[in-house]
Amino acid sequence: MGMKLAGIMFILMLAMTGLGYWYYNNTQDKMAVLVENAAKLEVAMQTQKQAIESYKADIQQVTAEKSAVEAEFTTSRNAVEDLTNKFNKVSNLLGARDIGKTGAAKPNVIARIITKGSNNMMRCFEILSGDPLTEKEKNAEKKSQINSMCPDVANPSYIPTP
Amino acid sequence: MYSAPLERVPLNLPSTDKLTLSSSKWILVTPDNAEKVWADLEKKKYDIVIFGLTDKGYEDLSVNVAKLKKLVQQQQSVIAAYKRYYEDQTKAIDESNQKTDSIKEDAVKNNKAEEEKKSFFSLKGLFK
Repeated sequence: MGMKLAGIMFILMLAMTGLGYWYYNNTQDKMAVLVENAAKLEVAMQTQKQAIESYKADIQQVTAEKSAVEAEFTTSRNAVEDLTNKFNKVSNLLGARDIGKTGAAKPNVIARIITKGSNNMMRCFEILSGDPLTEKEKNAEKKSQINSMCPDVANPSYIPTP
Repeated sequence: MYSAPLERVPLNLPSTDKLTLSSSKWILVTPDNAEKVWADLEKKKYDIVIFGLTDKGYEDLSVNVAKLKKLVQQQQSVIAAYKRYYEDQTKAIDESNQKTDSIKEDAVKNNKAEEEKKSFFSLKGLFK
């Protein structure tokens, strides 16, 4: 009887040990999966954080580029306006500027001025197409030395006075 | 899950042709100098003809050319902005990919370390 009881107890102990062993390993495996998932989530979170930072930087750059282009647009628009104003300039001393009347009075002088203006404008297109600046253009600092059609393009050393 | 970053193929375009423009000379013809202008043309062996503009026509032509220059400048500004943005973006994407790779590598290393630590303490590890 005692032997039988001892045998049953032994089988029970074996079963309990096996169950414990299985339970321990099962929970360890589950924990491993959870740890792995947590690591994946951490990676995903960091990647997303990085992506958000990258988007923020992109937005800043887009805003800066837009402002820069708008400023350059304004400069180019002002050049057209300046030319239009040159033709329609009204001076307190001399009255309204009229290129027709001035041309009729001084045809040679005006021909020389507008020839120079036209050639300056052609030079502006050459520079815009990628032709390098000459030393004379680079070093021009005085108003009398500059290409009046596009000083912003042709004469980097020239600082216009307001 | 693994993802392979796509490499952007650089767009290497040729530069536009440089302009070389001829200079032109304006002549103003008035009733007073008309005879002299014709005589000059004859003397210089040009055809006796003038392609003329009124003062208003000249002003309009000048403003039109200035507007064309404005367009060229504006388009150049836009192209330059796109170029800067494109180049900076490529650089930022490369940096971002490098950071992501580094994060993934760290995670893999950490996982391995965890595995090793766990197997040391696990019962299974005793039989390995």
